[in-house]
Amino acid sequence: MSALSRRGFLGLAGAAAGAAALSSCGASIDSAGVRAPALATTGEYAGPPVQLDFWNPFTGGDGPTMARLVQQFNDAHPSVQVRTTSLLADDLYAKVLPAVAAQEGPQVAIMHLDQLPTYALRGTIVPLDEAVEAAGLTAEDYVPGAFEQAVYRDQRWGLPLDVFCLAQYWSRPAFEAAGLSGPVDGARFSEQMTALQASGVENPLWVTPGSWQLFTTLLAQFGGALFDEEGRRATFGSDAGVEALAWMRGLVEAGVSPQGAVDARAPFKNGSAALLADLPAAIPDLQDTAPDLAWEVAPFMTVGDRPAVFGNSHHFVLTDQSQVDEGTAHAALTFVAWMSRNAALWAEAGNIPASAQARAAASFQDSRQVVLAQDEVLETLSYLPLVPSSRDIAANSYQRAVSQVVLGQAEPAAAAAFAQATAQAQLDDLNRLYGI
Amino acid sequence: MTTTSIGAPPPSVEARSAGVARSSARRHGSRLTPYLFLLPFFVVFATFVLVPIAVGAWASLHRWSLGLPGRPLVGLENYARLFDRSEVLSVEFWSGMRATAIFTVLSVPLLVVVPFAVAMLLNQRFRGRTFFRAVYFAPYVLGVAVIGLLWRYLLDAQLGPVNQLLAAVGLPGDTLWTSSLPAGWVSLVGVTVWWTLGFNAVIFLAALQDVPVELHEAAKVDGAGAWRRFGAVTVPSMRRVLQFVVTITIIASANMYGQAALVTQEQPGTATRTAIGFIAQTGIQGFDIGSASAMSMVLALLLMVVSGLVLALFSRVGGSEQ
Repeated sequence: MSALSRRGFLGLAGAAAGAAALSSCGASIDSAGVRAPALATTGEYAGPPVQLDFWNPFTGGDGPTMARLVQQFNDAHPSVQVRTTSLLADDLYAKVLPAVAAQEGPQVAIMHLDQLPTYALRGTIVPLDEAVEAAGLTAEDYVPGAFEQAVYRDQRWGLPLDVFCLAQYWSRPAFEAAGLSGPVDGARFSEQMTALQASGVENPLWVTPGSWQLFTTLLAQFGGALFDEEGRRATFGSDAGVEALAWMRGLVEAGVSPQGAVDARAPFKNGSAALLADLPAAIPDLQDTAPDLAWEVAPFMTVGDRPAVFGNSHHFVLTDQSQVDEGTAHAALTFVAWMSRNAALWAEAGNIPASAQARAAASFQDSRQVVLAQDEVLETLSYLPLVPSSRDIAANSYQRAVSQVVLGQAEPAAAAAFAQATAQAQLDDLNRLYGI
Repeated sequence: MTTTSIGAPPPSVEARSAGVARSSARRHGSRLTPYLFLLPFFVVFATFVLVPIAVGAWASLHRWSLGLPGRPLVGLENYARLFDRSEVLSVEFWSGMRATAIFTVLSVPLLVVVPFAVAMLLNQRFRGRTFFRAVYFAPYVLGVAVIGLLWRYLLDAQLGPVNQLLAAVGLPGDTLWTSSLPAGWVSLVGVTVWWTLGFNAVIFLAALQDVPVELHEAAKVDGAGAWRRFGAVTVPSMRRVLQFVVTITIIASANMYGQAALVTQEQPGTATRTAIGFIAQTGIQGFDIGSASAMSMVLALLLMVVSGLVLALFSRVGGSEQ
């Protein structure tokens, strides 16, 4: 009987699978290596109908607003139809790279400013310098600081949709009960907090272990920076960083924040807190889920040596997939240029539209966050630096330090030093990998 | 008394040999059938298990960052980096493994003993037994995202009901269940036991019902009490099932990720970030496929060693009684 023995069968199967695996590895997820810039086309696209896929990370209260904005574009442009997909930011950033490499992804996407270098180096997104010039967009069309940010290694990678920054939200009834008029200002911070505690709000400002945006704000206010200009050295472990961490821990030790708080928005909504340090995404959230609370928003207070506040922005990017032919490239550029200019409706999502025209529009002037869109505030925005893989470095370094210090698990100086060493080691390794 | 001819073989032997000839003739024509039956499942198994393992092993030998051109073969360098204590990768990976080990050591005994006890209770005859069997199994049908979010809100130190209920009955009501240690481990182990004890209990229940009643009766006749019967009859009869449950529970606990990511959000700092959590962050968010694959291989190898130890332990301990 020459039947295959069980061992022989298993051996053959394993060899076949291995061979299949190794041979299939020839087709790899690899960037072509060619970083051809986006096609510079002028005017709006008017050719045969084109369908574009558009991915964005707006899964919260801002999602429906973006969908409406895209619908406005679709109505105005019958030859370019855009299909929107909102996915969680982590998923978007993980999926867009292999999807575009396999030509199964979007032609246009929204990315945060600090994510642009990571995808620029991997060929997922294309440089936009000539395309933006051909579309007639210049710095004057945008609010101060927004347009210049998206330049990495002398090339432009994104067109801003909006800018957002950390802000303070204060509860009018709680402040009035304490005999205070808001908002909180840095010089009188301690006495205002004491007054609030005396009037019955035991913990006026809750700080959570995930408040790394607050850390970045304080770091800039105390004169520090996350990385140096060239993105070669991690510098957040400096004295400014230690001071920032100590200030955050000081809130817990002074009883202004409870120990071990995990969520800062919910207590603000139900009156356990009187002050909230949060991003503008809180605005639609508070409007929807706390309609009875009389809250106000104001620029974040300066408790350090100079005014500064954490800032970031959402950018439109064109992916490698949009350049597959001239029609698609032209249509994608048309979409991005139109959205970037006409984003007045986007103000409803709580962010500050980057377009100067949208900022001047009446609909934005009526919004809650217009107080944050003053030039004086926008000039103090401390944007996240353009360092590739910065989010990965952050997770292993200063985000962990913030968490440990706020929870009292580590001293500020030790945590800052360890985080900086970790970030520097990872940064060196990544720079070697990228050949920077 | 009949006379049988000695020369001719007895009819039964003849029938048997004819039967053998007939059945080998049947087998001869359909030798491929078993493999054809296996083929659909094997295709799925190869695509989703064998090929990824092979690709993972291959990837772990390369310096591969997704999207970058060039993917040089570096041999065992990725593994060497995991054991080089001055590398960030190594420090983070082994603290993830430590968190995994803590969770596994804390959860596996509870996930074996408690479901066993529950199964023994559910094996008794009482009214409402079926209802309770359903109730204990029910949490298992929920996905990890559901139970993670649910328990994150329930265990919130300031906003969740657990602390408020504890305070109402006079116990300390300010434990930071999701943002401090060791309370964080208690939360994670507790949530996992609540979630998956039904699954293990159902397996134990089925095995308990397979224990022959005669053995119990014989032991009772010999004068054995309940505990003696448990040790001498129940447990040895369930040796294989116990081994299976212990092995899969160890593997499931070592692969825990969802509960840590959702309930404690890998806090405080990254103290409750498990090995899988760090592998996911490195590979999926950091795009470092080579290192992530090497870490997965190391974790898989360690789990194989542990499974082997469990097998050896059960063979040695229970072997003589079977």
